[in-house]
Amino acid sequence: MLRVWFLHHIQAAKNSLLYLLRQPFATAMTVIVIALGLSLPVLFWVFTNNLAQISTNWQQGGQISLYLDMQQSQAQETALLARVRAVEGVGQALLKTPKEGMLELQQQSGLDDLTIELPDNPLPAVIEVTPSLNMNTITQIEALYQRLKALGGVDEAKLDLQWVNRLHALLSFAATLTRALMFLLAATVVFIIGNTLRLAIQNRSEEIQVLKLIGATDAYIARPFLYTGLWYGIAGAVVALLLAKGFILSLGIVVSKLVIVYQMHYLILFFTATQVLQLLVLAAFLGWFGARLSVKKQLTSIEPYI
Amino acid sequence: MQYLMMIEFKQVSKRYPGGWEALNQVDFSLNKGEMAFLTGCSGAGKSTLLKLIAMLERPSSGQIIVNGAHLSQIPQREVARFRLGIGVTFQAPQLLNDRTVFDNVAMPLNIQGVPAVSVAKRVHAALDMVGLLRQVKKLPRQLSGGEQQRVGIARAVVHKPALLLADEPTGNLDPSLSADVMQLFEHFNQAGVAVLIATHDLGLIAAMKHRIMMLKGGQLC
Repeated sequence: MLRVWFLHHIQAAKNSLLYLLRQPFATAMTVIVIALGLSLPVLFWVFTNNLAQISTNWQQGGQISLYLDMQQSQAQETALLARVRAVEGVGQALLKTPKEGMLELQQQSGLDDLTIELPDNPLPAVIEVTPSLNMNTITQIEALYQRLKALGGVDEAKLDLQWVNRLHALLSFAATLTRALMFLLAATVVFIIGNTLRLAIQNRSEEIQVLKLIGATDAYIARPFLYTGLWYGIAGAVVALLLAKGFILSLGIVVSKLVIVYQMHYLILFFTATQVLQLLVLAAFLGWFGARLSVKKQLTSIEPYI
Repeated sequence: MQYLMMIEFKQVSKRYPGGWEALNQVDFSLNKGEMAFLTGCSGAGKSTLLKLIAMLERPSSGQIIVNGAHLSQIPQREVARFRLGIGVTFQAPQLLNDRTVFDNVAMPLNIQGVPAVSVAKRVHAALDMVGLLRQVKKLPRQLSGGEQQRVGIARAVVHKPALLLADEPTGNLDPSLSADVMQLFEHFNQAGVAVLIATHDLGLIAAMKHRIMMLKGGQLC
């Protein structure tokens, strides 16, 4: 039983492939339509990969502000500054006195007479810490933040990850957009293949009638059509990958100019082998699914007529 | 219980939508290994009777038993398996024009999942019997009408069914070719296959020593 099942699958896979190759023009047209449908999500996928890569390189945007105890002398604060500078992972540390802080606040808020209203300067001295360049993950920065917060003389500490957080929010938005777009275009591929096979079945209804007449089950008749959908999906994905690769190669020239201007080193990432495999499997599934949608229903409507 | 009968009709009627009664209370049987002719004018119900046996149609009333199986008890999804157990040929041989003679004849074997080596052997044997061994690689439209008919017959017997149904197999053939085809059916019958042939060619079958059933107005007489 299993041997027959296996044999039927091999035959269906082989025959459907040969059938497609026998009419190269029609097959190429369909494959290109599918590839165009797939290449857009493929490009989006590549871009989000690259954005994620860029963001991990740029994560040292986190700033740490240390608010010092109010009851400290100027000398104690300077000593604390020296201790902060000695902590590993600290790139730059600047001491801001309460007076400087008040000045900054006045400038930012536009309240010039703030000092007149307030009897004492309520602001503490602040040490602004910029992490060193090798601190490039959020966990590292957070560990540094905890260490600095625990120092004697530090009353309160604030970690400003706003910039990083914003970038991450933007990235996750892009990822969601990609997923939504992929879903839409996957549906497109399913329906393109479904419709292509609907026509194929119409063209071959005579053959289907004969097969039914001599005792072929619906499953047997459907199989080559399902494999046709599968081949369409895979071929479409391969062409889509080539299109995307070509696009990225052409983009690479522009990017390298940009990279030189910004004095950085960046290489555009393409898919890993795993991602290529994922795409092929997904496309094969979409093809099979699209074929199944239209084949099952249509086959039952064709009955042998003599 | 071992059935001696290949086909058994009990009070079978077939009414088509619109009220036309193709068959009316038909009783008949065909024994295993028997060969018989079904004749009558066109519209007498010959084709309908064969379609009922091949489960291309279902009867309006009555019982049909083929090779021990009550057809009314066979669900739609099992019809394919049932059809695989019989061989059918038609006036139009129903060949696939984009496949070679070999591929056409091999179809029932491929559906059964016969290994490729045996397929080749049995297809060649079947084509040898109908005298078309040299046309294996040709396409059906490269053959004459009589040759196409014989390809259809080879396809109907290649999987060694116990029952062979033929609907006007000589309808498009000239008399000498018709006699050849009939001889072919007799040849299969001698090998133990039950054969039921619907034909209006009375002159041709009168000379053969087989039972002749006459259908008239949907009834056997």
